[in-house]
Amino acid sequence: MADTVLEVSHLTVSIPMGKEVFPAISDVSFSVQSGKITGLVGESGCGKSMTARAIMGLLKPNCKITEGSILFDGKEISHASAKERCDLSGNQMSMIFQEPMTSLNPLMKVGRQVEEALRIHTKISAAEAEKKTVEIFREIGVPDPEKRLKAYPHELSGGLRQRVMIAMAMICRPKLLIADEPTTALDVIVEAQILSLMKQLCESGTGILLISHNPGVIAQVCDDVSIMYAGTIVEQADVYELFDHPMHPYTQGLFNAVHSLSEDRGELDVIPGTVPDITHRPSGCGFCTRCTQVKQQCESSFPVMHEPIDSHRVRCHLFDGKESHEHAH
Amino acid sequence: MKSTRALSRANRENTVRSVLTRLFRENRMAAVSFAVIILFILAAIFAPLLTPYSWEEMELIHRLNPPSAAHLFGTDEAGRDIFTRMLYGSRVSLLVGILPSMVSLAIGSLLGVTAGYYGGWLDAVIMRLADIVLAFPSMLLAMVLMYMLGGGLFNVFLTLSLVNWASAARIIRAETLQLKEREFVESARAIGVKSPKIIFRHILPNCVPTIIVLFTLNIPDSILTESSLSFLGLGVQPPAASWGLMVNAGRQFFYTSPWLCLFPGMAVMIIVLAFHFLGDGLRDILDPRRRKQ
Repeated sequence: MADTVLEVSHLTVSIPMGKEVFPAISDVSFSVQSGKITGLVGESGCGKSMTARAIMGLLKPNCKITEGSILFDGKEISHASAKERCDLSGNQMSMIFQEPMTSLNPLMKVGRQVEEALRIHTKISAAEAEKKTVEIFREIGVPDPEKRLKAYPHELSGGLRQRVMIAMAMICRPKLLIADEPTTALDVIVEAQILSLMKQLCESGTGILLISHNPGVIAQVCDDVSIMYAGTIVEQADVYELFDHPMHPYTQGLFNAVHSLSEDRGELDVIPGTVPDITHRPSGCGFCTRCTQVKQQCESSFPVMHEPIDSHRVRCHLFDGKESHEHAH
Repeated sequence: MKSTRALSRANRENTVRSVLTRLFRENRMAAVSFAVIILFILAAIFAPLLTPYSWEEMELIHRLNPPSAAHLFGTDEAGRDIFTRMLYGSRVSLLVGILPSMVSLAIGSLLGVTAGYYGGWLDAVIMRLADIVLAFPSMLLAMVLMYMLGGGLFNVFLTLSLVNWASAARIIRAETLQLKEREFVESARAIGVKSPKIIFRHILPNCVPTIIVLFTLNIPDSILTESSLSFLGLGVQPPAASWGLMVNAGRQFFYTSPWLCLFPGMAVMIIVLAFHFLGDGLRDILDPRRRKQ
């Protein structure tokens, strides 16, 4: 059994808007094991990035973690001080961002940016840092590393920049890597390369939290998957179980909306409606306004997590009273 | 092929020498401007060697002589050689243009970046302070300060530095607010870079184009403010010369002896333009994104 690197439990982050305070994400629980990739899927605005930021301590000042805990390597970090954060970030946990085009300082050579993480967290000479940077560039497949080291970001392609970002995040060999839609801005071929790179990184022992809105990406590389909708996790299982037996109506809708080459279905299915605005979320299930199987209690009461099959959890009233016997008591 | 050339171009360090070579190769105008500025500075340093006349000795027989072989730029109302006085005056004008601009920009940038980055009460205090300074017409503020401090070159420096920081602080703060939301600042934070380092490594360097432009705009401003102060008797005191002082002194003879204003005025114009062009060129060269491919 792999070690748990990250354990998020019942995390709630609130944003004040006007005089009221709204929970942007509520009761989010999941874990990341070392050497495994955990996927977090959901459409835009459902709180995926907010979750990632909460873990990294990069929340905007007005957002507050109001409930729950984030255990990193067994240590509570949800209210860590700025100094503790600086020690952790880049060293033991790292993050790569969606936009490789804007995530690098345009005025610094990429080599120096990658070395920065190393120089901050370890006492290492400039020459040695450069050597390590060349090493990691070679490892993640940057061609001609000695030369690229001295290039400015605008001289590199999107795929190369994303590799540089990964190098920056990985150079201190963190235990946890959070990848916030790392391939969204890239074309499919580069996407495949980056994904296989992620896979390779996790085999070396890093736990990865992969955030994506693309179930296809998740299916390719993840071990465990959590589906997010309107700030909560609606379904959670390992990747095969989830894709073979999606239980939540939202998950089913999401998978139906993905184009498949193997079967010709004509028009794609869509989930009618849009994600409810944060200020107008229903008091019951967040999905009740768009759900095809909506029941009366969906609108009034917030569903709890059920576990109808072992380690396959779903937050839906359709499964009320259908706990797997192990957890029934 | 093209990309390797672009790479090797980028591989050059920003040493003074390489910046100058690139400046000469890529931007003639800036290169010429640089040469002009150097020429003016050399002229200011070696003034006594370049002229047989003294800057304060009056020869009333030669009063208001037009330009001639003996007096290149003519003589003024007291019979002093204008070329000589301009050479000596450039010492004041150049120093007054450059030094206070540097000081006020340094102060303004640091305060602006601090206010923008940290926000909160620090931002409020610094910006209200800037508002107070900006609320007064800068000329009036400079006059009050000069009156309190008394005349003299050092006090002119001090005054110009204290008057000009506020607008720089405002602009740099706005720039910082924008930059600190950029993803590369966030990704720097995500690898554990501490705040002061983020400011000096990631935010300030990205403000450099703005700072250079502000600098080149500040220099002519300072030269002109100094001349106005001198005119009001609050700046450099006659018989010492500065270009502004000479223009103002020559005003009353403008219709009969235009060379009194013309040459110092042109000197101000040339140096101001030269700084503008140099600033433009430097900004292009120091910013890797703007480099010609």
